[in-house]
Amino acid sequence: MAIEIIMPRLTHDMTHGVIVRWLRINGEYVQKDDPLFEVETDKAISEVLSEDEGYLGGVIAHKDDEVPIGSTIAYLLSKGESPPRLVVSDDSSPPSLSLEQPETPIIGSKAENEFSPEIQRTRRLPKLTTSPIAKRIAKDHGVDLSLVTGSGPRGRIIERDVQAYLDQKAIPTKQVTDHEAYEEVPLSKMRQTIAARLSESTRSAPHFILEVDVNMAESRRLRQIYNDSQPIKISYTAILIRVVSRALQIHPQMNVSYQGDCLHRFQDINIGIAVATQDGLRVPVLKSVNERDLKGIQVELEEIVDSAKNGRIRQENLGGGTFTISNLGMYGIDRFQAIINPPEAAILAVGRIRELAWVTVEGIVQQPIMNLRLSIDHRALDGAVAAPFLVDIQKSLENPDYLI
Amino acid sequence: MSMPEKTESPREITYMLAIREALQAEMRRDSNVILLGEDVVRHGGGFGVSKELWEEFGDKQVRNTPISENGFVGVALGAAMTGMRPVVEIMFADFSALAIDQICNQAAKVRYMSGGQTKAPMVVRLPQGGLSWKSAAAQHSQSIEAWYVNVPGLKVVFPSTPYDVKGLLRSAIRDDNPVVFLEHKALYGFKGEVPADDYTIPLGQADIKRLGKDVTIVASGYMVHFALEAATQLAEAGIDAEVIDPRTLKPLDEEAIFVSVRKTHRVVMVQEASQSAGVAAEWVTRVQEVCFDWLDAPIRRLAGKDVPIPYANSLEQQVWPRPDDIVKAATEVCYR
Amino acid sequence: MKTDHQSLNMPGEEILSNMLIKMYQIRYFEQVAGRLYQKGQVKGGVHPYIGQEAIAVGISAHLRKDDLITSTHRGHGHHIAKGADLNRLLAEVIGKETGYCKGRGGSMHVAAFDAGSLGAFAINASGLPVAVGAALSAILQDKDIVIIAYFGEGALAQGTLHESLNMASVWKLPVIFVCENNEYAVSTPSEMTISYQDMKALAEVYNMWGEDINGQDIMEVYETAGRVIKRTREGKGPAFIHARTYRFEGHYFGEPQIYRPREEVQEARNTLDPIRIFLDYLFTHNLMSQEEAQKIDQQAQEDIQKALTYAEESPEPKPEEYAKYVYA
Repeated sequence: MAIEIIMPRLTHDMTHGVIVRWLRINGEYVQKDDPLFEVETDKAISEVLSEDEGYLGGVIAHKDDEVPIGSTIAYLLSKGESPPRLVVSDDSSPPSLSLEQPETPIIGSKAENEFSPEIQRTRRLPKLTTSPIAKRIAKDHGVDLSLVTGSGPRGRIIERDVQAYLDQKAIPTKQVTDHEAYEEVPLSKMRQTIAARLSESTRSAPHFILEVDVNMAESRRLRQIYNDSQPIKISYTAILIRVVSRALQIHPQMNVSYQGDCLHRFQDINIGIAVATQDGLRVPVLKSVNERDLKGIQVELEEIVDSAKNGRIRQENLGGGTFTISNLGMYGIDRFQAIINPPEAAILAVGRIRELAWVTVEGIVQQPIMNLRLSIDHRALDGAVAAPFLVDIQKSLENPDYLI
Repeated sequence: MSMPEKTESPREITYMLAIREALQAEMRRDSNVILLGEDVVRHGGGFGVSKELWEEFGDKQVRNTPISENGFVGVALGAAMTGMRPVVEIMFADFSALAIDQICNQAAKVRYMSGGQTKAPMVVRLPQGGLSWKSAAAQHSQSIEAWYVNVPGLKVVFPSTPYDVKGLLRSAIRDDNPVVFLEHKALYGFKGEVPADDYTIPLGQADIKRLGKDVTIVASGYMVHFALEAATQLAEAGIDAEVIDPRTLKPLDEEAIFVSVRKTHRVVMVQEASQSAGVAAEWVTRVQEVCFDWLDAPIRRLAGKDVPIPYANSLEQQVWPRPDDIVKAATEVCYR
Repeated sequence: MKTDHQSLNMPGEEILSNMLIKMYQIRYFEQVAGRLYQKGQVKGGVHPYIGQEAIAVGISAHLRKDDLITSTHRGHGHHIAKGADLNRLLAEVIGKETGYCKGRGGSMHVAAFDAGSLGAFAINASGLPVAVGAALSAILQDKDIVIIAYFGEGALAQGTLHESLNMASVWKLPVIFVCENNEYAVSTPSEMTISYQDMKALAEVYNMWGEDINGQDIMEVYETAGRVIKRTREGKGPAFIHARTYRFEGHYFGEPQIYRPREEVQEARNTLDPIRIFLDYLFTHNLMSQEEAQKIDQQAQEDIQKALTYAEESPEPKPEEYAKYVYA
């Protein structure tokens, strides 16, 4: 009688496990407690031991396959036994399969197409695919496919997904209404793109907001000393970039993008800075800021903000961000909530530094306080993950060691 | 004489009568058009198609052959090479296996092997297919178009309606090449409209049996009717299917299929014949080669199962694709 | 049985010379083809008619231009006898554009339609129903032509042959089936695989006129063919001629021929050469002088030499035209 080998639940919040590798080969005899395979969860890689003995067979899941906990991935068989066939009770339901031993071998009745769960389970396919026509339409209309959510199998982006995206972007038909005299102001391509992107972001990503007030006294003091002692004047924005980049290093789970059936964890830390230009909002990106020191950050920041403002910024500096900082402090805004810049998962809104009566150990004293508001994509991140990140930023700013 | 007189308006006649009318018209037009086959005199062949032709045309144009398939197809070839335009009827397409030498090795190749010195203007008519539920079983129900589509030098035609069969048979008879003319025997009683006037349909031209925009269904023979039935069901579910009937399997009007695919982006191919290396595989390959960038989903191919056709009705039911299968496949490629 | 020249319809000098030169042409054509094969200029196989010349030549002496023949893989002799152009025939054998079939048929599928050939059918017995069809066509079009369907005794086992004999007979068609029995089908002697040896009886079974003749004696062939062709042309129905013969070369040039003793072949060359037999007859009956015969021999050699030059100097077919002539 075939014994099922299932994907075990290794951690409390584990829902799926990725098979890192099999430690035994098909047909090999396995004893109880023999290591069978390695599984990756979001925390670590674990070894799974065999709970029984038998010949390994009927392996359904392979290296790199992500499998829900509890589902069968292989069998331990008696000598000469064939693995059972899987029978799907209902095509539309997600993999909850019942097993059935066939009475007679069924010739030529293998799962015939990609829509049968058996194929879905066993095929090692790229996680994100796009149908040829979807690619073509996207190309013809200049659509960034990373902005499109796929509704096909395995998250495939199909024609109607791109079409839906374009429909949103489409200029609404002019409404002839009876209202006050108006002058029609055409919107630039850039404005329309901003409108579409931010609408899309608001629509698809559930924005979850966390907020801290930061006492900038120490930062202000050290910045003063630092700027007095060397020619490159460090801005608060540069400080923020440095602090945020280090926080992202410590909390890499904040440096992600939601992809439907998985997250893309970015390998680099590229921070975008929202800049108001005459054409509208632009987000130049500082790439791999974690490798840069404060001075380097300031220099680059000045350069790209400058070029963004006078329209000379290069295309390569405008994309590829993994996190965005938006600062309206210089416009006198106390606090605000920013909209996440897709495909990122978080954005930090920075308000102005204002003098407030503040409770300190010395009693109520006037302190420079700055509001930080973090918007996260709740599909990818939870409050419990974002909170320590934001608090770390607060701590770094209040007890600065970023100059080191 | 039971043959209907020419009338002003189009008439509704059966597929079988359409074939007979085509033969009659061509035999009247050209006395070199002769009909050879078993039981064609008085009995009308295996199915009654050629009834009344001997009564009109006599021995000069209608002749009973012995049961010698390879022999009498060769006789037709010899006649074709010397000024006649023979139409040969083999009682069941399955039996044409006996004549594969004369059809595929000889007739298909005499023009080429002789460097163009001769030609073989002949038509081999083959009633094929199952789905008549008469339990004719494995040797009397096959769909064998793939045997011939593979052979260079032949043309292969497979009409699905009375209108198509009449127009195409006339063209096939007038064609200077050997034409394997497949008739679906379960369609012999199927009625359809036929114009009153003379008309022909050129070989190598497909027909859009139903216009649509969401998915292309390519089907031939009886499967055309299943595809149309499926399209009605699909329409109720909000899927607008386009049904393409190639009509001529070789040479294939691939451009018609490509135009459709570029419009709909999703394709289902249907054949009654058993799956392996059937004509649908050829259609799929061509679409994939030319229209890859227009595809929204992998191309689906429905076909008869790879089993000899069983005798028992309950088993027979398992063999061929049905409208429900087409609906399911079309729905799946539309990601619904 | 030696024929008495008096009993024949006295073929005149012209017919006799014609027959002789044709026999020599066939002989030299085949030898040249064999040499070309050995040199590698003929790629496919060549199946020589050497030793069987009397049959095709003797029969063809009675054929009109509009009479038709179907031939076999061993078909050069049939075609030369029927009047095919030697140049174009040899060009076809070496696959040139100027060949009868534009290099697309080759030795086994030669066809000279302008000389009244329906082509060589290389598959055993495959040409026979075609010959029957041509005969059917003839009576439907009220033509008084005859069709000669050549085949070897190897075809006597083929179903298609029996179907063809049956249909020719039941429809009373003007086709004459000529069985060139050279005793070996490739390597197999006929006794091994053919259950009947009385070929005339076969004709009886199929209710048609039958003859059994010595295929090495051209005068016997000529006399028989004259009668049979006349009879068939008059609408008296099909006929079956069984001609006993022998091939001096292998089934194809270069065949090891392990199936028959070399002595047997040598004996045949010495005693059964149809050209020698014909010459003996001509000289014995003073129908031709030795010099005349030699001149004819010479002429034939020149004709073949011309054909060889023509063929060798002809261009190859254009590669890009490989698909030409598939469809009409």
